[in-house]
Amino acid sequence: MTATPIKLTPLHAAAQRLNAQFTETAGWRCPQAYTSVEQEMTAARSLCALGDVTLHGKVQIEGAEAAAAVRAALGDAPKEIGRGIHVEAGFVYRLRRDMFYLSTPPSQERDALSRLEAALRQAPLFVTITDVTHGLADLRLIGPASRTVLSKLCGLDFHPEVFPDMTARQTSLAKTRQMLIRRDFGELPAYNVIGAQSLAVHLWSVILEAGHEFGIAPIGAAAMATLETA
Amino acid sequence: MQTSQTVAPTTRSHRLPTQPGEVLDRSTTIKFTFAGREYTAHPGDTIASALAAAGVQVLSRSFKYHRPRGLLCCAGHCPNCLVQIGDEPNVRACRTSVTAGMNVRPQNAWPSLAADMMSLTQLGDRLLPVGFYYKTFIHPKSLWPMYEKVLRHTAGLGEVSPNTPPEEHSKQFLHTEVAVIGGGPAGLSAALAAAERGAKVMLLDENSALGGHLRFASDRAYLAELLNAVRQNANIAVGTDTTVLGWYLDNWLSALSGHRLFKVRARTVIVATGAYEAPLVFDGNDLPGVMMGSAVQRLIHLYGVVPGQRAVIVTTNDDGWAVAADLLSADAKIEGIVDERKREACHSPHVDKVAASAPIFWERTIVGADGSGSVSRALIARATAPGNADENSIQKITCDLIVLSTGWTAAADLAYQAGAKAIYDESRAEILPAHWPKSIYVAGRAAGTHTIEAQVMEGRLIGLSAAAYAGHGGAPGADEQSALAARKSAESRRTSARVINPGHKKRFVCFCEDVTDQDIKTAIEEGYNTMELLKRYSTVTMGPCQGKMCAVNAIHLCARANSWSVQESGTTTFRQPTTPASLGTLAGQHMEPEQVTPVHQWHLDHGAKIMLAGLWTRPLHYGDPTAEVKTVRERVGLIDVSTLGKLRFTGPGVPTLLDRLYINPFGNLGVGRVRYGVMCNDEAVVLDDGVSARLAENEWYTTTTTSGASAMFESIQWWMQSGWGEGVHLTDLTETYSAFNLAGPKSREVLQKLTALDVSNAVFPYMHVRRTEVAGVPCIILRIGFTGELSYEIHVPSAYALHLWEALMEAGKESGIAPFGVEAQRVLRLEKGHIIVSQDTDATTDPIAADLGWAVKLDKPDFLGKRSLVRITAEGPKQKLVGFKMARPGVIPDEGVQIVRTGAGGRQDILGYVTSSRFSPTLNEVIGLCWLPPDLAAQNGASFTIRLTDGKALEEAHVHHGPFYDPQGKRLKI
Repeated sequence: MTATPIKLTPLHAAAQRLNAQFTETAGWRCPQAYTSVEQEMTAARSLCALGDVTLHGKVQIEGAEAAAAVRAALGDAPKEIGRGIHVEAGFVYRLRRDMFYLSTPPSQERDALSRLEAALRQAPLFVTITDVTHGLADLRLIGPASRTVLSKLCGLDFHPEVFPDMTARQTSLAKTRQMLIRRDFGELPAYNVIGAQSLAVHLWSVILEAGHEFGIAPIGAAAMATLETA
Repeated sequence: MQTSQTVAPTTRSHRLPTQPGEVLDRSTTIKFTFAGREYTAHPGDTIASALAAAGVQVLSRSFKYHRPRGLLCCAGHCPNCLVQIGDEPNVRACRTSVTAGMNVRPQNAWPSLAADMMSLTQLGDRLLPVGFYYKTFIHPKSLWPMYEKVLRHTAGLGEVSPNTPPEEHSKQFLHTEVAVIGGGPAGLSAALAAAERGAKVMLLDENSALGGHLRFASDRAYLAELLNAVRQNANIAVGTDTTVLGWYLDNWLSALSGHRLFKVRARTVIVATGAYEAPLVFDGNDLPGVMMGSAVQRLIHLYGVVPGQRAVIVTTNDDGWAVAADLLSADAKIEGIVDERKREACHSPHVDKVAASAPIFWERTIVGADGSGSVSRALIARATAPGNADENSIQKITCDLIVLSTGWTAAADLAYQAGAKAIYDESRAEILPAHWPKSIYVAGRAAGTHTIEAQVMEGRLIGLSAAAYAGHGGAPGADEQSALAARKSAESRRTSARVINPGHKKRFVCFCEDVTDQDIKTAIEEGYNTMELLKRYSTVTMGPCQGKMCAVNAIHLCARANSWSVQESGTTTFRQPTTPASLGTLAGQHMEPEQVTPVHQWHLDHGAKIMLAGLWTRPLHYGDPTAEVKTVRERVGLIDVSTLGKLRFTGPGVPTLLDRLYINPFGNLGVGRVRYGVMCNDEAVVLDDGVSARLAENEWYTTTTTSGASAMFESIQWWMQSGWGEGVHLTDLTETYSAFNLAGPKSREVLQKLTALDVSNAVFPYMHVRRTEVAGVPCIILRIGFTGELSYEIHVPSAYALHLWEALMEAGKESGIAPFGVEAQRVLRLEKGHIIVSQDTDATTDPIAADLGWAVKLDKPDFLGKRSLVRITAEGPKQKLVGFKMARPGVIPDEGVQIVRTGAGGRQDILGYVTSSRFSPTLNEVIGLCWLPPDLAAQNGASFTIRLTDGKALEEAHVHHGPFYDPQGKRLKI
C-alpha cells in the first residue's frame, strides 16, 4: 500500500530548519542531535538545553476510582495531588483527586494501556483511560538555568522547597495552558513542559528566546539518553 | 523672549577634586553632544552632572510658557532635565549615564534651547489662563481643525518616531517573603534584621548602588558596616537599578530594571523609599540656579561637581547647614544662610564653621529670585506668622545659586497604593502614611523619621516585624518600640509649612505644567476647590513628576484658600506607576500564541494563503478558490479541518446527558451512526453545532466548531459538575486527533485505495461512522456532508496526520485531487444553505429562527433551552434566517449590510441584514443567507432590497427556500 507510517512530532519542521540529524525510535522520527552530543551535554550541564520528548507515551486516567485502577494496573499510585512516583511502566502523577497522568518510554504506552484495561476488566470501575500521546507535545528543559528561564514565562514559585522534584503543576506558561513536571536528572534540574501539540512550535521558539541570554541550546535524543542514565 | 546666557561654559570649571564615594572613573573621558555642542564627561557621570560640570545651567524649556529650566532635584523627580536621546523622548538627564558619542537634544524648544520662539506664549498668558482648555479655542467651531493642528504641534514633550526599531524587552516572575523597597539606612537595616531571622529577603533600590541618602551625605556613618553585612547575607537578594512601579493586590509588585520588568510576589512589603525634597513657592522660583539641598549634595559627593560659586542657602532645618558645610569644603562662597528659625532652634554641628565665613540671617525666608535666564540675586525678608513675610524688610543678596533645604515629602506612594492612609502630622508639617494594612510596613524618611540613628533603629524593628509576619521569629518587644517612638518624637521639625505672599512675578507650584499659585487661586475661585477638582481643572500634579515636587504646596494653597486644615484638604489618589514606564516594557517578550496543524508546513509549501481563526492558522485558499469549489463538485478535494473541536464522552450516562445538552434526540442513536446536533444555552440561544457519532455502547465522539471548541468543553463540564455528570466522563481530544475532509464524487475511489474496509455505499452509508486503518494508521471515519458532496471526514492521530495527508494526495492524483481551503468550503456549504454558527447566527438566535426547527424535539423530558423553545414554537420567531439570490448578476453584497424598505418620504426602515454572501461558481449566480421578518421570509421568491456598503446603492434580491444546489441531497448519498 503506502510506506510504513512514521510518526512526526509537531516540531519536525522546526528541527529540520535547525539542521538536526534525525533517527527513528519506536516509530517516531526525532532529532538524534542538533550539533554534537558533547556540545549538547555541556550546554545541559552548565547552562540550559531544550529537547523534544513528544515521542514518550502519555496516558490520562480519569474517574472517582482512578487511584484504585492505577494501583491495580501499575503497582502504586501517588496519594497527594501534584506528586509523582516512579513505577515500572514509567512515571505517574496525580493531577486531581480523580485524574492521573502517566508518562512512559516511547511506544510503551500500549503496554500500559493493556494493563489498565485488564485491571478494569477484573474489577469494573467507572474509569476512562485515554491515550493522549498524539495530543500533547512534551518539551524537556534541562540545566542549572532552567528555573530562571521558566520564571521569565511562568508565575509559579520554582523554589525547590515549594516545587520539589517529582511534582506536577498545571499553569499558564507563555500565555498558554501547560502542565509543568519537575523531574531532575539526578543533581541536574530538569522540567517537562506538556501542552497542546498545536502550540508546540510557538512554545519552542518562546522558550529558546527566553533562554537565549543563558546560552540555551536544543538537545537531541542521544544526549538526553546519556543524561538519563548518567 | 527670554534668552539663556549660559550655554557656553563659564571660565572656572565646576569640577571638584576626587570625592570619597564618587561614582566617576577619572582615568578616562568620553565625549557627547547636547544641543549641538560637544561636551566631555567621565564614565559614571550622568548627562546632568557632566553638563553641570561644564557650567551649563539651562537644560529644557517648560511645557506651557517655555521658560528656561535647570537642574532642580537631581534625583529623577522633577521635569526640568527631560531630554531627547536619539529616538527616545523624555529621558531624565540626571538619572542617565553618559555613553560615548551620545547625542542629547533638548525638548520643547524651537528653534533652539537658547532662543525658543514659543516662549512668546508668556506674552499671551492672559489667553492661556488656568483651565484654558475648557474656555478657549472653542469658537468659531469651523476653526477647530486649525486649532487642533496648531495645538497638536505645540503640545506634548519630545518626539516619537514610528520607525524606531523594536527593542528587546522581557519579564520575569520573582517570589520572596520580605520585599524591602529602598536601600538607604532604614531599608538596609530592615533587610538585615529580617534575613537574620531566616526570612527570604529581596532588597530593591532604584540607584546603581545601595546606600540611599548616605551615599551623598557628608557624614557616612553606618554605610560601610550596613553594606558589608548585606553583601555577606545569603538570605538577601539585591536588585539595584530597579524601580518599583507599583503595588498591586496581595503584595504583587511590578519593578522595572532596564529592559526587564520584574513581577514580584511578596509575603510582606517594607516601604523604605525615603522622601522627596520639595521646593518653596516664591517669585522666580523656577529660575535655573534654584536647587534643592540634596541636589547639591548629590552633585558634590557623587559626581564631584559644584553647581555654583556664590550660594545662598535657604533652610528650615539642620540639613541645610550640612549642605552649607559641603559647599564650603568645595570652595564655594556662601553669600548667606537664610534660616527661618531662631538661633536656639538650630542644633547643627556646622554652625560655627559656617558662621566663620558666611553671614547668617536668622528668622528670615526667601521671597524672590532675580535673574535674566538664571539666578543673579536672592530676595529675602523677615519671616512673620506662618505663611507670611514682612515686605518692608526685603534684602537683596547677589548670588548664582539658591539652595532650598526647606522640607521633605514622604515618598510613600507604594504604601498609599497598598491602602495606607495619608495623615498630616502637624508637629512635623509632613503628610505621612498611617494605618498600614497588614503585611505592609514603612520605615525611614518615608515614615517621617529623619535622623540616621532613628532610621537604622526603625528599619531594624520593621524588619523583625515583617519577618515575624512571614513566620520567622517573634515581633519586636514593647520596650524597643517605645524607645524608637521616643527618639522619633525628639526629632526636630524638618519642613516648612510656608507659603509666601503674592508678588509681582510668576511663582510656580507645578513645574511640569507651569501652574502658578495665582492659577490655583483662580481655579478655586471658579469653584474647583477640592484637591481632586483642582487637580483636574488646573492640571497641577498631572505632569511627569506626578506631584512629587508640587502636591504638598498645592495642598497647602488649597487649604489656605478654603480655610480648611491640610488634613481636610487631603491628597489626590496615588496611582501606579510611580515612575514612567514605556509600553515596550509592559509588553515584554513577544509571545503571541499561535496554533498550527501538523500539515501547516505542507500548506505553506503549496502556496496556501493563510488566515487566522482565533489562535489557529488555516489555509484560506491555495491560489484559486473558485477552481477549488469546482474540484470538489466535479472530482475530489481535501481540506484540513484539524482545528475542529473533538470531544469524547464515555460512560453509561452519556445518552441522558446528550439528550439534555442538545435540542435533538441522541439517546436513541445506534452504534456506528452519526447525527448532526445543535447545542443551545438555557435561553435557547444557539451556541454551537457539530456531529455526534456513537462509536460503541458507552463511547461517543462529538465534533464542535473550531472557535467553539474550548467554550463547549467548558460549558459541558459546567453542566456535568452541576449535577448532570452522573456516569459520564468527558475528554478533550481536539489535539489528539487531526482531521481531513475528503470531499467530491471521486472521494470513495480515493479512500478505497488506502483502506481494507469496504467503503461502498451499501456497507458504509451516509451518516455512519467506522473505525479502521487508512494508509496503515488507525482512523475514525465519519461519512457526513457539510459540502453537499459525497465526503469522508477522516480523523487521524495527530502524529500520523502528515503521513495520511500525503498518502491521500498521492492516492488521489489519478482522480484529479487538489487541496481546498476555508474560502472554498464557505462557498460549498452556502450552496447547500448550511449555516455557520456565529456568522449566520448571533447572541440572540434561537434554532427556530435559524430554520433548524426540524432538529428540535420538544417531547424530550428536559433539555437546554426547552422552556424558551416551547414559547417560541407557540408564538413564532421574531425573524427568520433564509436564503436569497441577487437579481442582478455580478453584485455581491458585503456580509453584514442592511436590508431595507423605503417608506413614505424616502425614509428607510431596516428589515434585516445579510449574514453570508458569495458568488456561486456552481450556479453562476450570487447567493446568500439573511435575516428577514418571518412573513417576508415565508414567501419563496419574494423580492426585497439590500442596501450596499456605500450606504446608498440599493439592489434587489429574492427569497430562496431550501438548498441552492442539489435540494434533494442526492449527491450526498451516492
